[in-house]
Amino acid sequence: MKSRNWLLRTASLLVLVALWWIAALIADSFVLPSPQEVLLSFWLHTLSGELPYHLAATLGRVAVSFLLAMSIGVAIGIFMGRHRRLDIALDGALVLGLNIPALVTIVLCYIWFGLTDVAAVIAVALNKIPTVIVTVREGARAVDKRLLEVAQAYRLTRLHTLRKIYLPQLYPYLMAAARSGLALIWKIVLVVELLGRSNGVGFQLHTYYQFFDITSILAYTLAFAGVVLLIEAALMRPVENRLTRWRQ
Amino acid sequence: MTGLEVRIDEKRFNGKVVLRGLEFTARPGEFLALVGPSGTGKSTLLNLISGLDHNFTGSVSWDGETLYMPGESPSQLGMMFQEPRLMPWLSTLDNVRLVSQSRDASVVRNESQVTARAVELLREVGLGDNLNTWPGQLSGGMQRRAALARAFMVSPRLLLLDEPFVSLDMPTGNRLRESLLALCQRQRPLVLYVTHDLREALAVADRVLFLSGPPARVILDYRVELAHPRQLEGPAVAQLQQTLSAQYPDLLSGLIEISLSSEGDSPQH
Repeated sequence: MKSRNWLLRTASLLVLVALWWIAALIADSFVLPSPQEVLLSFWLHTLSGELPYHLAATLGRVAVSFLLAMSIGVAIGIFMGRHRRLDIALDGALVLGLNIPALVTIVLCYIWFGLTDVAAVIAVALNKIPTVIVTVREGARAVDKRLLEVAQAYRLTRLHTLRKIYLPQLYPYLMAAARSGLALIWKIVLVVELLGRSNGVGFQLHTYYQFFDITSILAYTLAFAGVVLLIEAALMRPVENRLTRWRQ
Repeated sequence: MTGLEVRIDEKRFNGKVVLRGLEFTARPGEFLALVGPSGTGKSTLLNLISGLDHNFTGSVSWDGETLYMPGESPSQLGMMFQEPRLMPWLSTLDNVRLVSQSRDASVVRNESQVTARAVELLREVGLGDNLNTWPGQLSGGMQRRAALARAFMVSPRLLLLDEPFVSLDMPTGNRLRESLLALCQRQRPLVLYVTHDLREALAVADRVLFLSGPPARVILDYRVELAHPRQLEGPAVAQLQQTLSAQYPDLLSGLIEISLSSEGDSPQH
């Protein structure tokens, strides 16, 4: 069953590449390079060391802002889910946070904190935190009080109550927040780099855009897509399978 | 005094008085059944005694010490709720092991001792073959056995059981009651066994406390002199039930109910 899942995943990716190839053949234009051209470009950029350097810069920003957004969002989400008054008090700010355009936060952070990595990471995290809060708050509201009563009656330590009773109920929500979080953060990090950093994939895309170098743009996109797929397959799915194996 | 001293002056639930002037005491090792019509606040009473709910007037003391801090339950408390309340993400064995992670130094043992004890208890209640099964794959009866094993994991000195074997079929219920009595025989906790079934109460308890309709209080404290082992369907219990009904016709009217069988003991998938 597992190997067949893999087969299906790979096959669907191959179909995408094939469609791209056919489209490139038909279009026969420099604005839509073929898969081999992009692969070659990817290889050259990798050999020169330029692509790994910029990709690493982007990955670093993604990792830091992801951890920042998740830890702050989860903490606030749990508190808002548990305490009704706090929930009401913060709800307005939350709705505002959800709806402020990413561009506004980014520009303001650069103006207030300067064109630095700190400002960049804060801007990305600020964009992500509200959606984490919304998801985790939902989970905290759904926590089964009857199971917490078991913890209380048996005088479990706080640590064990958290680890064995509270968090397992939140895991599905944490996984959802992490998944959608990562997807959003990738996108915003690139914008942040485009607007105010001198390295990273976003910065490079901006440069190639000015030169109309579409092959390089797609080569970077390819590298990027590879990393995303790798994180999903090597990290997200295994963790999720482990956390939800009792449901199977 | 040692043991349990309960004096509930008043307990309200959603503005309605559910318990008023409810008092009784019990000595360590005694097995008490609390009998009353459904919906008379028996579960509420157990929540007060267990410390899960401290919003009432009156006092509950355990070994001479008045009620625990808000949110604190007495140490070495074993509790079976009406539902098994197992953690679905922990194996049956881990569910039983879990409660050894208590704040009380007295129950903390090393890992292998904890596991050995949990396995022993699960074997005793007949779940030796289901140690690594998820609770979701156990039948209702099996889940209750696991909850019973869990309650004894803490070497309880006080054991609160809230209709623990309700809605099980007769043979399953009987087996579980036997397991319970065997475990109690050895560890001698003070047991409060809530039920709405008078025959069940007479079959297990040393003393039966009859609760009135709401607001509930103790209206009769009856000592059961039958020798063990007793059969729930046996003539002795039936006869005692008849005697009681004749002796206190008003008291017991509406209390006698036959437990309904619905859940079996075969695994559900």
